Amino acid sequence: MPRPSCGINIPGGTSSTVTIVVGTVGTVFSIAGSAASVWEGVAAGSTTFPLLAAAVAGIAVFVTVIYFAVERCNQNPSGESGCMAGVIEIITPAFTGSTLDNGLPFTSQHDRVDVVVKKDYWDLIDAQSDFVFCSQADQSPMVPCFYYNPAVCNAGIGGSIGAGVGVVGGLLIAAAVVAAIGCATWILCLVALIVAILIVVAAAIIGAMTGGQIGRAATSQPGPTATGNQQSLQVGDYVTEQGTLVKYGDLDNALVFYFVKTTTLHGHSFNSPSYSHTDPDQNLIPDACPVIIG
Amino acid sequence: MGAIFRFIGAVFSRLSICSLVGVIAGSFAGFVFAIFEKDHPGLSLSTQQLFAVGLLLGVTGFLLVLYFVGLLLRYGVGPIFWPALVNSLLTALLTVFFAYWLKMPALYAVAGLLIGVVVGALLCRLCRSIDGGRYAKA
Repeated sequence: MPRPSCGINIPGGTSSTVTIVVGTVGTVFSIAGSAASVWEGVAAGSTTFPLLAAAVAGIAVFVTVIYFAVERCNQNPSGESGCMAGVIEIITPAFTGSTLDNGLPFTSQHDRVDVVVKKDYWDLIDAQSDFVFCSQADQSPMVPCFYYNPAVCNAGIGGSIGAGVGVVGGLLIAAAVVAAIGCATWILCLVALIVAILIVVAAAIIGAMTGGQIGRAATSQPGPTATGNQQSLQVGDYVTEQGTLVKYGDLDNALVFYFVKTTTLHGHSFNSPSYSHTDPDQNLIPDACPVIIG
Repeated sequence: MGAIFRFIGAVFSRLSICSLVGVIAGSFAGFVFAIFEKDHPGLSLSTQQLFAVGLLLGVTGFLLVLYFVGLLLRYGVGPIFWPALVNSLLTALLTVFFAYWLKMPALYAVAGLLIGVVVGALLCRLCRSIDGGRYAKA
């Protein structure tokens, strides 16, 4: 069985989240720009235009936060069912993936468990993964396994509500500031317009951060656990993972479990990390994946 | 909702990160200039004044890029700061001058978006030849 090559095997494009977020921002501005220019409801020189522009910028922020909520709350992404077994190399709980997870909790990823898989499953990885994660020990292939964490979804919902509230609050503040700056000359009008945009965008971001924190704090986080006895998973555990396999755009189209539906815990390795595939190959026999004959 | 997001993602999926930075800066500059012109119909601006407007919109667009790309999408503020600043300023300036020439406000934001794609792609190519594409790959 050929060993999958670590790193990028098929060069992919920009990640799906990046293109969707930036594309959404560009689309909002483009549609709003066209709509505003043909709209005849407001007299020229009024303070309505700066507030309109600020509202659109706020909506751009709001919609991108909603995207994260939609994405993180989708418990059943389309993909094929799969099963793999191995030893846990790394556990990355939700909200700890990067330093920005605390500031912008609505962008956090679900609980992630990276499993060094048995040699028996290399063909699955080799055939379906554009990017292969590997352990440090001997570059043994790993599969990232995501566990649905309701706190991540609720951080997204809280962030969306917070961003919406922030846009409304920001518009009220911006209205007062625009009136104070006035529109005596064209450059003052432009400055008022830009200040209004910055106020509303900042308010939307602050609202999203606050709402995300509230949503996160209001939800219990069990962390990744084994099915049945609900025992918390640890680095070094032998596990069989069953769930939905997808090529995940945000991880360079690596093959991942998104999400794990069943985890069978088989015991714990006597070795210490980092792990080689030879460990579960020798010590995890049999695993809980159904045997396919033929 | 998810289908709309996936459609938008598919439309922009072939663009590099440099072009995507240009998309934000260009569409924003075009949008604000359209609103501004709607607020001041028939306003005549000199080249210097257009340049000032372009710079103002470029800096504001740059701040949006720092938020969306640097923070929200986790590229980090430091690694993208200078390339994004150059990209945003160039895109906004070109958008403002082109829009002023075009005199069709309904198309300003779309034109800005397309200008951003082109400017980003050219800067990406330039970066690759200078630093081996650290920014392009970031």
